[in-house]
Amino acid sequence: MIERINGRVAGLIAIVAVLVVLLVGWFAFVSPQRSKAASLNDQINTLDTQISSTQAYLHSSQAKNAKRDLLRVKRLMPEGVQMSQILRQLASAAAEAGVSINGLTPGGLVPSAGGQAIPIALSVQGHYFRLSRFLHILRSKANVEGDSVRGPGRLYSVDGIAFSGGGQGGSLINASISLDAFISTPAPPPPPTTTTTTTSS
Amino acid sequence: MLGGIAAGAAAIALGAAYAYERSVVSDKVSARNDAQARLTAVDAQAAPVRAVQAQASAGLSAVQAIVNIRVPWENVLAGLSRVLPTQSYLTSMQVTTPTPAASLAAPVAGVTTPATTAAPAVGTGPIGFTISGNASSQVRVALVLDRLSLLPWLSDVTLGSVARVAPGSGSSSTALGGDTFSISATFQPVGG
Repeated sequence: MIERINGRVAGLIAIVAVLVVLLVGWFAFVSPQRSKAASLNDQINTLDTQISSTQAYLHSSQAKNAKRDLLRVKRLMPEGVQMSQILRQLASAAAEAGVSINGLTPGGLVPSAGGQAIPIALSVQGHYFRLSRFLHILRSKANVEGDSVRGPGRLYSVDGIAFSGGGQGGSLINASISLDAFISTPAPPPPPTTTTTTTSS
Repeated sequence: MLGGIAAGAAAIALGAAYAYERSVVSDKVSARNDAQARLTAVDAQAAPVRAVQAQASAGLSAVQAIVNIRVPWENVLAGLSRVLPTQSYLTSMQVTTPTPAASLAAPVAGVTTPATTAAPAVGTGPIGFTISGNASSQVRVALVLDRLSLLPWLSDVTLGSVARVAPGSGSSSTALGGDTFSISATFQPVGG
């Protein structure tokens, strides 16, 4: 049988055999490694992109200003009540506006946006336009324009005003003002309700 | 014979290619591990900055929400004084915002706003705006009603009562006589 295979056929068989070896070797060993290398390359590129974007973020003005922005927000809404600060700011606003604060009664904390509100019942005496000026100063203590915080003080919000004592002659007005100051500490979660079950035999 | 040599050469070439690709893969694995380590280090640097930024952003959103519902009271008082006609005076006023700051409370499961802890409300319920005063005549009271209706933050201006006061009776503000009135309206201010 072998004797019948001439040299030409033998050459062809050899070529086919070499091709088979090459193909099998390529697809079984070399090609998977190349695929693995390509996949690793993609992973490296993705990681490099993430590193670049994180480094860009760290060097961005956003990141550099984050601490300053947080301090500004904390100035508007501190973590604690800091009633002494509220008293000082209200007294300063009253003096600037030319009204007198006759009474101030803080209420308990109530949940509000970003934390809790401190309701304050404020009793103020003064002329109509001086009261108006007082309210303007309180509002100007803190304001937000775009993404930036403006104003030197805490955030105050007036929920309502009631006054009496006006009339002819521009006499003094006694105003009751419902004021809110704010803290950033969120309200504590409610205590778990316990159910007691008694069984009688 | 020649075929055997060719097959051997092909096998050697394949082996060399395989060895080369393996070394490439090995280099890439080490490069990836290195990049992963660098990313971890950079992330560790960025994490606290991101946390601070998130906190500041959340705080700013809360402040913005409160600022948006704040009533510019000085504008309310200025507008009121501007539209009030001559020979008419206010003796009392009650205005309450329809959106107090506590209404912005984020809903927390199981937490209800304790109404008893809030400061006493000074407003007049759902209407929000009530004034009383005196005017020289009922025509002046009518003018007060018309003028109040011009204010953009008042609607449903309603006369509560009007009563004639004899000269010399009542308080100093009604000493010259005239009419006392009370008016209520729905207060819907624009925040700021």
